[in-house]
Amino acid sequence: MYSIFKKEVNLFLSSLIGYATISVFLLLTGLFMWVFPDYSVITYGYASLDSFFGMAPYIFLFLIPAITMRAFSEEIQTGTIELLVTRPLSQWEILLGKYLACVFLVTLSILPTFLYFYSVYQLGDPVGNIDVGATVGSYIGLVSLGAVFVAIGIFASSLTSNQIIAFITSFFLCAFFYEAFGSLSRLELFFGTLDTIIESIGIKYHYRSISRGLVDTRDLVYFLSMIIVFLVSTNAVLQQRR
Amino acid sequence: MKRSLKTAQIYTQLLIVLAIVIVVNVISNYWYTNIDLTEDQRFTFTPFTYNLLEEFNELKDEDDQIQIDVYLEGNLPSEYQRLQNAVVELLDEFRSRNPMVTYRFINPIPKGTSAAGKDSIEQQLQIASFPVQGNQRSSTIYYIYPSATVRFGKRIKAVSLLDNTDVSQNPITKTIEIRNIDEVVSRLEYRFANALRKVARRSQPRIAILSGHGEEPMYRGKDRRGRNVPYPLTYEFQVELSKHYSYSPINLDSTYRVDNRFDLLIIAKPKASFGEIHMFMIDQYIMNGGKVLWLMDGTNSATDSLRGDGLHVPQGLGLDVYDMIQNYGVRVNQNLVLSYDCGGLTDLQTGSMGIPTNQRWWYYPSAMPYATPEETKVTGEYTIQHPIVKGLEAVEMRYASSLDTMKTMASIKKTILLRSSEYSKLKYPPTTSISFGEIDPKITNKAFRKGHQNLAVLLEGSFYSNYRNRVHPDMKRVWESKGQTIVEEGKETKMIVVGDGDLILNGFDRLQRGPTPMGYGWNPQYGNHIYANFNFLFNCIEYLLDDTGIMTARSKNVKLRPLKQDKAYEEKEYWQLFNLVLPAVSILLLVFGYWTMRKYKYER
Repeated sequence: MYSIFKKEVNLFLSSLIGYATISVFLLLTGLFMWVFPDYSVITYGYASLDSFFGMAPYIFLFLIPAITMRAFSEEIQTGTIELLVTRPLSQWEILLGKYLACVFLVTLSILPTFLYFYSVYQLGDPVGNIDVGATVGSYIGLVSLGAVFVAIGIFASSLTSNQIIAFITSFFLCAFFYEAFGSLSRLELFFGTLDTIIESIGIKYHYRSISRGLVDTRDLVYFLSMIIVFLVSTNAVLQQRR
Repeated sequence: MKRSLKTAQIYTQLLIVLAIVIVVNVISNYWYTNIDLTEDQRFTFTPFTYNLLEEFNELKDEDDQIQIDVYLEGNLPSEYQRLQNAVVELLDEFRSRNPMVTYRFINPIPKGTSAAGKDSIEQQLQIASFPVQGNQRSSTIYYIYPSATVRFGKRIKAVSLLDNTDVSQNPITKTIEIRNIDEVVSRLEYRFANALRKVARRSQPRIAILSGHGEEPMYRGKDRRGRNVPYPLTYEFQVELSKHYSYSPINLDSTYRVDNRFDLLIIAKPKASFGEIHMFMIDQYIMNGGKVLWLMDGTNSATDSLRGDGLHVPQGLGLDVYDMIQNYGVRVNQNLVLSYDCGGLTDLQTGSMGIPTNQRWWYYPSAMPYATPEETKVTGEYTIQHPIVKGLEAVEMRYASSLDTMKTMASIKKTILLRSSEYSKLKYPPTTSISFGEIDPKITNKAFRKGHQNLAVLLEGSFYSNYRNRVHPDMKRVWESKGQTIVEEGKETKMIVVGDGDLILNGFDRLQRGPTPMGYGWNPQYGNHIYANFNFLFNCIEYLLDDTGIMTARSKNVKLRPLKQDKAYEEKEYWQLFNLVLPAVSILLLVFGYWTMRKYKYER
């Protein structure tokens, strides 16, 4: 499993696309957080990273499919998937190796945003007047969200040999699971009856809950469940392909 | 054939995993725990709020949901956005504790409607509107409704998210701005919990308002002689009272006791002595656990008394009931508190008869919560504000009398709620007078040397009867013939004594021909100003009526976390560059490091 993990990370970091993806992510979050006046922390006037954590999921919708799209699609297209399968590795090891490599890359792209934390820390009145605990909670939420998006992306990538189609599919699925259930629950039809249940199927509900700084086992169980469901589905797709 | 068998196997596996996951998630919803990482424990409620949310499960037969509608939606300025976020957080937390809670945000002004439809919406919802400015650069003014309604079964209660004293008007744009958003946010739990408590009650608390000793009359529309008085001076008080409680005036001449089914007795501004019989009735009401709010004047002073020649010689009222209150633990002094930190007369009060208005009028002392956070900073003493007054702005008193706490036989907890500023002094009738001539801008705070004077005190505990060991045999006979027993050491209860009866009053606007809000006056700092009288009075009533302790939620603290915005704007370019360039650079460094490492590895 580790060999696959290493190979995947190396592959990503030795391609220009890898850096481009991470740079675009950092540039966009930087612009939203510091430059665009409607979202900027400077006009908001409070020492928190709320605008970053509010914006990041939407940027992840593009970033993560870009990272995961080649995971299996490329292997299928070039036929190397046959080679992989014949190696003395179980299918789960391959799957987990690739999955963890992508999660690692997502975490790597989040790391430089600690600089935002430093900046807000310096700008607080008095200096350091930022809720560290709540920010830690938000980061836990963001990494969990990334891990779910990666699982979705890997699944989408196993469906097709075309990377573009994989990208679009995983973008659609991520967006659907992130946003759609919340919107559905607000239909007048469900008011006061099913709305809570429908909303809690979506990712946004749990992400928002955890980013407040309240780490709840319900949200962690949900994130883990989503990851398991999509990885097991990927496994099923690969099995069928064999 | 073999292939389809394999497919079937895969799908069964998938379905099993899915089923397990769903079951685990459902279970986790019943059996969970959480860690509040926030520094100020924002998501941890007081135990009373949790209890309250749980209590609703027992009321399920009435309705199976608690519907909360929040009228705060649309294009909001940033501070209102923060308020909205905080409401969402709070209600999410309520909902996770009790799934009966459902909430939604409603924009009361649908798209396309302008300010013209404003009045009808306000009337419909019975809530106030706030003009606010749109985002930073746009100058459009529009109206928002920072309130919510809580509905359970047939009962519905309005929650205002902001009080008059939480906001100030921008002098240029005339928009309403929140003064201290964190204070407002930290009080949200209490506001919603209080509304929940009110809708959970099947019947409203009953309040008796004493009459017959010159107290402020409680009529609406017509007075006792049948004259038409649409707006008595207690109009605003009664309007608010009738929203949440059932209240009725009582006259002790026509009864033999104060029924303990009344949850609270309000004695507002009595001017005549009570007599032993009435005092005994009130005493026994207290001994049986009755709660009392005393709004007591020590002298007969009023601005109206100055109307003729501008001079008034105040007299102590000398009420017999003062002795009784003193036995419970507070002495009402028959004096006048003068303070440098005070309000002033407004045109509305004087009717512009050559009397100087909008000047400091020493007889209107500002009563500050004990102890204000600023004082804590100065003295270094650790003081906690009582939930009744926590975060409250100044209350304006008029011709108030100072209060002293007294040593009592019974162990009574005495909490000072309000006091005048340290620049205060006292005047003792009858060797003194009040005149408008005392208004003088040249007087400084140096002239006020008596220090803080207590103006409101809370007493809690089991009081000893005022008639302990000295019940008149006649009184005893009468009382026992009614089937009552005399209680000399009372049940646990509480009372609040305020050194000013005017607190209950509102003013009258001669131009608009309507009542002014309670506590409307003039302030040296803000000009025309609404003091926190209303909030203080109703917090007192809520506290006295509250047996669950829900009011402790008022003392929750949320730390202010502002940004040094001027610094941030000044150094904007620096921080923008720093946060756009440095992350990218760190990635470049990573590339560089990675390639050097590979090269090194490769060469070896």
